[in-house]
Amino acid sequence: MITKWHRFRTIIVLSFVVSVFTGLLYQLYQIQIIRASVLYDKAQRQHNSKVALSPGRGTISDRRGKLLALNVSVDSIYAHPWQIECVAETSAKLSPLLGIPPDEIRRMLRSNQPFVWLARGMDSGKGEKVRELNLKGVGYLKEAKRFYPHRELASHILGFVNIDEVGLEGGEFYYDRYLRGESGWHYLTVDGRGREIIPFFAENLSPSRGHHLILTIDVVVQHIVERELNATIQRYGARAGSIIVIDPFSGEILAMANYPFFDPNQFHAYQPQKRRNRAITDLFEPGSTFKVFTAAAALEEGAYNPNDKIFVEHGFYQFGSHIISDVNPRGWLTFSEVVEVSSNIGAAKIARTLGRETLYRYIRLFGFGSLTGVDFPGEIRGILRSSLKWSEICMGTISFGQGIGVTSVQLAAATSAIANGGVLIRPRLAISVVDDEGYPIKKFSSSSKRIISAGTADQLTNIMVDVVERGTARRAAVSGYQVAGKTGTAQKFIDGRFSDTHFTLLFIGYLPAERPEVAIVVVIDEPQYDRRSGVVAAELFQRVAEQTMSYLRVTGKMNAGK
Amino acid sequence: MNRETYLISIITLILIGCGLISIYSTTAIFAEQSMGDPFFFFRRQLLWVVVGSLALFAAMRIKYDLLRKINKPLLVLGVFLLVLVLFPQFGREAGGARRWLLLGGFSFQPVEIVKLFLIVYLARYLADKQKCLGKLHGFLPPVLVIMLVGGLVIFQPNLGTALLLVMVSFIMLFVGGVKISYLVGTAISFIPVLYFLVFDIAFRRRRILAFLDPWSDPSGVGYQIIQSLLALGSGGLWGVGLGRSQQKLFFLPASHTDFIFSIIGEEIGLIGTGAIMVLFILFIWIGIKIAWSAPDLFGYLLSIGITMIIGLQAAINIGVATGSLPTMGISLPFISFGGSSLVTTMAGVGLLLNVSRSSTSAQNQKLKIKTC
Repeated sequence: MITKWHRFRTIIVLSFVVSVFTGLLYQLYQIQIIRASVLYDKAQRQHNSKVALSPGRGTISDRRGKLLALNVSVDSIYAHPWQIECVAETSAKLSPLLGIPPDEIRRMLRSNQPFVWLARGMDSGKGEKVRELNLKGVGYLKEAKRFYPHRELASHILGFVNIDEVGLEGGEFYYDRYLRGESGWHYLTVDGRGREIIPFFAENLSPSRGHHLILTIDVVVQHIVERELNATIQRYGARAGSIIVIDPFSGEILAMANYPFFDPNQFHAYQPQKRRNRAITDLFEPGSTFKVFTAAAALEEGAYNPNDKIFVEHGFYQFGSHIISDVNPRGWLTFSEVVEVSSNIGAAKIARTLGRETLYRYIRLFGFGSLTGVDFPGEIRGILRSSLKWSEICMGTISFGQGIGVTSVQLAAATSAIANGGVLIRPRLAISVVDDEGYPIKKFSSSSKRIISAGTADQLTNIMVDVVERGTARRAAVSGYQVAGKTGTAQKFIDGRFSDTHFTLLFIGYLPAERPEVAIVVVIDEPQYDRRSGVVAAELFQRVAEQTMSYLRVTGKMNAGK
Repeated sequence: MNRETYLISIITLILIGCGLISIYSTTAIFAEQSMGDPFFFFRRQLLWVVVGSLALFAAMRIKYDLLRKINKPLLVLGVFLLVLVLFPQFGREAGGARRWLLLGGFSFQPVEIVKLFLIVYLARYLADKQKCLGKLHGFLPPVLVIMLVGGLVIFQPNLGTALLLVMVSFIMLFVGGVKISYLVGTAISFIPVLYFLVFDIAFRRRRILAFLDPWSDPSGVGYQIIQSLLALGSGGLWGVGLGRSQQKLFFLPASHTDFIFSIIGEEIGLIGTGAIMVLFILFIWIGIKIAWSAPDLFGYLLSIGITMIIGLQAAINIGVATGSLPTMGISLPFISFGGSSLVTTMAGVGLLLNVSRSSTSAQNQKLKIKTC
């Protein structure tokens, strides 16, 4: 018999079950409505991953369109480790083809990643050979690899990129945001085993190719400069050297070379010190070349005229507590002759007349002690102490280039300022950035600032022409041109004193003097033969200047590339 | 055919249909990849639906009195199968548990059929021994039988199903009229045993810990629960679309068996999961209505037992999927992939329909009795 007690207890059980189901429905509401978006995002994160699609890096070319950096097609071999059927067999077959030990391939194939690169940047055609092996889970992709066809040429300016074509050094680094383009993304939908599945909506973001960079460099001039720099370095057994060839009116650097060279195609094989763009990142004492800037200050201030007489003390001069000496002792010299014969005593006397504040102001005006703003990573300011901290002797030696640290590019800018009639201009390595059709995306220009009058600049040019024609730099003369220049020799400061064996040899100059087309700075570091001879740098200047001028004449001067 | 018979058949058909669709959806890609046939699991389940239908009709047609008479032999057979499955010669091991018996190319889980045998036995015993249920000698025999069956199932090990069996048995004892003090006393004395069974066995303790805080170790113990929640949560209200689950792609383990509910939730959202829960609630409601108009106490208790085992099993499965209960390895009736469960559940529905049919004829008898 079914009694009311059975039915009553049934109702208790039923209400228990109904409340359980109600609780579960509430739980479902919580999960599927309240927490839905949070959980959805979490789920998406594990379902989706993305792979970068290389955009194709923009090229770098010189001012005449010669390609200095471009992309070549290479094959990159990859594997899906979970698809590999026999790891030992696969690695044994791949090893000789890829040139990787079988052990290493085995290790990579045992990875629990869904995708591994076995070898990237292999020669084009390798991929096809790998495919012919018909190995399950192994494939290849066509990738772009940076290639520098001129190898060492302009390598310090170009810099280099990593395997993913990201700029690491030099122009590649500085202009990376223009060159790299927009990475595309291939969105992968993966399953719980990390394998790619075909998604319902394939969303791919196409990469957009990078823009192309046009440099101020002229490959021919660069080549001349590098060849001559190398010859001089080898001949005199020097440690290092730099040359800058610059258009003094536009600030465009036509050539910038450093020794030692390196090949950016195999940048890994070179020590970092060989990859440094010394012309921008290294400082040295400018030596006698600095007398030009001391003279500039004196002329601009009206403290001296070029023909004013200065007594240079027959070679020995008590300056405060120190003695300043000249290599060639003389009695009376004109202001011009002080620069021509490079008299330290004369320069120190000029500085004393000017006073330290005035001298310091002009040094700063010429850009020493501050960045030139050249478009290159890693530029340094050099060393210039505040005039308040100068001792008497310090002011004296700075007037002829001791006790101050400058860079080649600072010297190039300052020399240009005299060459172009008194305007300091920012040196520059890039002309423009253009798109695939050659349409300019961005044009670069140099800021400029007048620092001395055109008259003062003319007087300085005359003095510097005399230096080459009659003074210490006769070896810099180029037939058919008037050359303005100044030599310099700086003792290197080693172990707390000025060395008698280690020198930096310098030359600054420009030509044709009446209407300069190029200004050139030459720096030779620690030659072993003819250690302190200004002739070494002057000769190098001469060879570079002569060949550059004949090349520029042939090709219609500076108008090309503009 | 009365209204209850009609409704319960419809609900059963809808749930089985949902199951077939979900099984195809969850297994097609895996089956395609490993067997080269996306319909592999679907076809097998379809076969079990046919077998289940035969079982349903057999259970519906079997003479009520015959069932009463053979309840003890059935129970003995059930216990025998449970013992048999423990022997390595007969029982097939999978995932660290010995749950399957091989029978002519097919494997089945004896515990599924034992669920029905135990319910029939308890319904018969409680209906016949109404007078001595208030005494210990009337209460003890069914408790001992429950302990024996439960113990054998725990031995497989299959604690989840054992707990389900014990719960349903206690509901039947309660509804059948056993003194509440006996039930409470027995339940209390079981607590230490349960504690020992859960916390002294490493994998169960991990399951409990994972249940308490799944996010503490999302790639370890919490993995399955988290993947289940991610599936349900991704579905939201409307779901990502039928067949479009991503969690089934090897993220959520057992997505076609114990966690199929989560994939349904991902593909058709709260609309789908809510609908399935409503169907189960309706099933319970109608099952109890069938009991209400059962011709006798045996039929009454039989209907309650079957309704409860299907309803509670669904509740536990959904509770696990929603992270409300620790992982127990309990399938979702009618829907999860698996032959033994489906055939037994359908046979259970057959028995329910059997009671429902008998009530129509019994009403006439009742009228006769009243006239006497």
